[in-house]
Amino acid sequence: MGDILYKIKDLEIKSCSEDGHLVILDKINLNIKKGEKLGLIGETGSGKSMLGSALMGLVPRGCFVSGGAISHYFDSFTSTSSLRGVKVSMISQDPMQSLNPLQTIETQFSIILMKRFGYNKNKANEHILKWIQKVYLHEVPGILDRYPHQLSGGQMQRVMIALAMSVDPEFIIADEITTGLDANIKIGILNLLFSLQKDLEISVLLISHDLISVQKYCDRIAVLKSGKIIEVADTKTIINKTDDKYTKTFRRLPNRTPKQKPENNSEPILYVKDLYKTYGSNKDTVSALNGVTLEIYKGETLGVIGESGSGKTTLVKTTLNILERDSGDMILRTNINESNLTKPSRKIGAVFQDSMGSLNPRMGVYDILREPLILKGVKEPKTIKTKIMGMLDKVHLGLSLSQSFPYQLSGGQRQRVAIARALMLDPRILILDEPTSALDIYTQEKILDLLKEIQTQNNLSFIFISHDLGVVSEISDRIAVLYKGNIIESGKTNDVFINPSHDYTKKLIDSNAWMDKNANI
Amino acid sequence: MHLLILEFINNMKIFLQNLFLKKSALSGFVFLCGLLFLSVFIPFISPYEQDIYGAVHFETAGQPPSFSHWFGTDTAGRDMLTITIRAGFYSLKVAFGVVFFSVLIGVPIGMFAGVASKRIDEIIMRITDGFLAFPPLILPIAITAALGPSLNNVIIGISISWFPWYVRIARSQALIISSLDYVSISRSMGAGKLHVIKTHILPNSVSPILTQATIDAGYAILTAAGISFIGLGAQHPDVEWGLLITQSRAQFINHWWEVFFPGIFILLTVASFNIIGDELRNTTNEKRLNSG
Amino acid sequence: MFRYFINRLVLMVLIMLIVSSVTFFIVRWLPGDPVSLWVGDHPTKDQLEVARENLGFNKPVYKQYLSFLKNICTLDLGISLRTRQPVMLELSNRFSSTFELVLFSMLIAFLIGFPMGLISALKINTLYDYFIRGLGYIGLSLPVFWLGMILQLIFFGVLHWLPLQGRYAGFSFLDTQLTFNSGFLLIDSFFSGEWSLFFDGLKHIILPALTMSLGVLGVVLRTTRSAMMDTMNEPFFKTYRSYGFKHGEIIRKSAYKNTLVPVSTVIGLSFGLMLGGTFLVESIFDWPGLGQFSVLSILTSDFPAIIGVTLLYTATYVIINFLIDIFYALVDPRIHQ
Repeated sequence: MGDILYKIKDLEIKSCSEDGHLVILDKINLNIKKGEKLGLIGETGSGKSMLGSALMGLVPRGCFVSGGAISHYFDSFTSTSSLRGVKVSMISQDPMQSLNPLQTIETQFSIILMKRFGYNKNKANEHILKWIQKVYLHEVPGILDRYPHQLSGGQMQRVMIALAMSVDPEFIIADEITTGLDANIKIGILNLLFSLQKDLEISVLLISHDLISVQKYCDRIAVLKSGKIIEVADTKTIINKTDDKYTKTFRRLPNRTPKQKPENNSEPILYVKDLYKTYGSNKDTVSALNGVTLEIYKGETLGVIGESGSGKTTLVKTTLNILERDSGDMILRTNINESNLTKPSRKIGAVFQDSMGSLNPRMGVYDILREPLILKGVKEPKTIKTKIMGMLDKVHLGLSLSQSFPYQLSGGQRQRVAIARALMLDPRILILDEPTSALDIYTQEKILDLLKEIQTQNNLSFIFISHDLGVVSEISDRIAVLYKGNIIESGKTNDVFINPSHDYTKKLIDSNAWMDKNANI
Repeated sequence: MHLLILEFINNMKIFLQNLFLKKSALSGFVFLCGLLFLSVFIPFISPYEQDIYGAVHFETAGQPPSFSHWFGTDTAGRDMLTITIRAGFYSLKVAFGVVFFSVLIGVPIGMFAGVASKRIDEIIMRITDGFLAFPPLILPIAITAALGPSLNNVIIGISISWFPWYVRIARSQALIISSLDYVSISRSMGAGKLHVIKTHILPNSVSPILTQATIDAGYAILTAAGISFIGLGAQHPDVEWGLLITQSRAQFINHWWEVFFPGIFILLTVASFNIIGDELRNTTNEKRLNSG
Repeated sequence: MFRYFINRLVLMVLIMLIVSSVTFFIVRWLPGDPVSLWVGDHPTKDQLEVARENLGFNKPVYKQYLSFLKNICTLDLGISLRTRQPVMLELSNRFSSTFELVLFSMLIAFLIGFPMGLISALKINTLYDYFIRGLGYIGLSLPVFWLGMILQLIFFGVLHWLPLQGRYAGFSFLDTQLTFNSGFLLIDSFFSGEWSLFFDGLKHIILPALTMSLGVLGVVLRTTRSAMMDTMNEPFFKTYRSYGFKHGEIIRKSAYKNTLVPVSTVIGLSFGLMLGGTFLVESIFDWPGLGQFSVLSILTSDFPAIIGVTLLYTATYVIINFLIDIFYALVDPRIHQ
């Protein structure tokens, strides 16, 4: 079979759990050709990582192949295990965990090269230097003597790419290699991978949930849903001709017209002025916020774009006054008066990202929604019940869910509870910190719709913080860009996007797949 | 408050459910229940009931196991079976007493340290470290000796030596949970430290504390037996396993039964606590994975 | 790194200070009149007064505390009320005896426990694993003193293979020339070529050492096993496997480092457990060490001796833990950052 590397036939993989066997991959049939760039997209839980692992013969403990087979056609190799690190290599998600935190980059790189090629230490080091250059890390001082935690996510992933390439493989599996990396780094990583791939003529399997980036680099795309391959075709076909609803959800839904809010010349409802906050003491101070100034007007959404390390978490905590700021004013203007906030105010509520820590796992929905009322001093059970039921209705959650626990709810439902909780005290302003980032695209839209609805109903102001430009642009009237503790740019949404003035903003916009002008939507 | 009790009951329910699945944990549980029951009622069942209170029968001293004395008799002629089982009562008392006091004192201090200012936290931690710096056994022995030899003082001695562990556990739980988003939100709604502890930290800390407590219950018995063995713990005519062993030291080479049975009982009791504790640790971890 | 070291050092001193103070105040609480012990039988009132004055018990408590602290710093631990020898002297005489026993026991515990724990993790859920885990449970639940007695029963009482008690038979020292003098009987006799003494010492140390090591075996087994399992579940493990490495290879070349941290923790813990165990084991085996001395001192309310022993034990434990902390920082670069 000249041009086929892998033939997957009727592959079925199950997992053992206490409740019996769960089917993870269901009768997979797929061929991988020599020299091709194949994309594999699917939502979380579709089984795509399992397929990648199966190709390497590294099915995790507790799972097993229950039917079908994978045959490979590399010359002269028989067992799958002998292919590993020789003909096939893999790059995984979460680069920070990919190497042993207790050994230096150089040590571990050379361990692998010495095994692969039988080099001695010196020869291995030569090759390591060569590869560090190829991934553009040679400018980082002392990179080889560093430990994994001393590198950034992007840098570590470059190391892993170098590693994967250095063993001279014919096939590379890239499993969600950009998930968790910041927007402007994602593109760099993928570009690097595919430019090296082109030079060395390696086949690549790109596993991702982001159709836009997959479509940019791959010739063919396979779509995985609940363990089954529902479509396999070349890229053009998948992008243009597919009618399948599931596949369509992987593309960012088209942007609706940005909100047109009438000019609001009145005073801002919240005026944050010259906010400073530093951490640490004496020698090791880290300044998280460097004189941040923001204004939020009634009924509008201010989008704050910030990536990790920008200081957004500190901004959120100081604005909520659960963290004391070093200096600066926070002036809240209500109908009655104006005050400089130093303690948490009931007029400002918050919704955070959906994660393990966003809702108390031991509290049912009813109790979660009751807590704010208890803190306010409401005692009458009837009042409490009415308010809670009313709020569940407002966020479109079935009343029967009031007895459920967080682990029984879906991500979207949990966020609705979080929103309901934030609204219980009738705030005027909501701070939303990455409220949709952990949700799939379909649910994201729904939650954004809910937020817009509530904003109109209650005439609320939102501070919407995210690193996802698509989401932020959809819901914000005005935008501020937070970079290293400074607001480097702000203005109306359209203005900022079409005419960014700061370099960082430009980079951010360019790297964001949403703005990819080549996508045929 | 009711959340805390609900949480505890919840844990117990799940634990009991899983108990019946794992045979080993079940047998441990059964053993302990059996021991408790028997040790309470043995004065009414055994024909040698007087031995528990220090009766002495030199005519039947030092007899090997036989039909009339299943575990034999000791140097004072007491029926080994009766006094060994009765001693179980006191060991269980030690187990629960130590755990109860250690948790009662240690957990509130730890939780407070976890939410207090850095300065106060530092001070509490240094003092705790001071207590924990003693090698195990030394502090309990010293305190018990200072208070005067008796089983109750052993309970006090061990509790004072061990509560710092719970300070540490509770503090670390408080720190971890305080850093979670739902606590931040609580605080933004005006929650004070007490509310956070009551509503969020305590209910989520029951599992690790309960697990540690169960295992400590076993160790308390071992420690108390050791202290009694030296002579600083239970005193005659009280019966306690360590005491029984040391009382028969002179003759034991030729009278193995006088030393063997109390020791076996210690082994079985402590092992039961350990197995149950392990089971608790496993089940509550799984539950955490489910709910997380 | 240097700052971390200094930090730990300061902490250690602070802790010893707290420990000394706690010890002082607890010991003051002990029943029994130390003065009577010193003076002996039938003292007259005057003799008691003089003794009290000499021993410093007439001064107010805080003054006694301060002179206590001062003495500690100069390593003056006073005179034992029971033996009338300087406490420091008594302790140093017995130190090597106990230390030799503890070291030997640690050796046994780890030579057996470590490999067993490793294999148990590598062959998880096999019969072998269950057996080792069962052994671990029993080890954790064993009363150490009882175990010692049972071993004596079997190996002395029934089999007559090993001696009942003591560190060496009384007559073994006759006609021996020790050219090497470290205080450790086994090392001294070995390097001096005194074989009969060496084997005699070996015969005597086996049972107490076995008792002590079985006491901590449970902890060692369990910790090694879980450390190994945790390491194998680390994500980087999978990375190496994807490059063709086998389990054992990965551990040998890289992952062994990750097990060092939990294992050194358990070394520290075992040490502490053993220190406590010496009280019981030395009593049973009539081993002339610190444990025996301690028990006697406590039972006779010999204040200075009790304080001295407590401080020595605790200081040893604290120093060991300090060394382990430093070791951690050397192994895990994330710690001092």
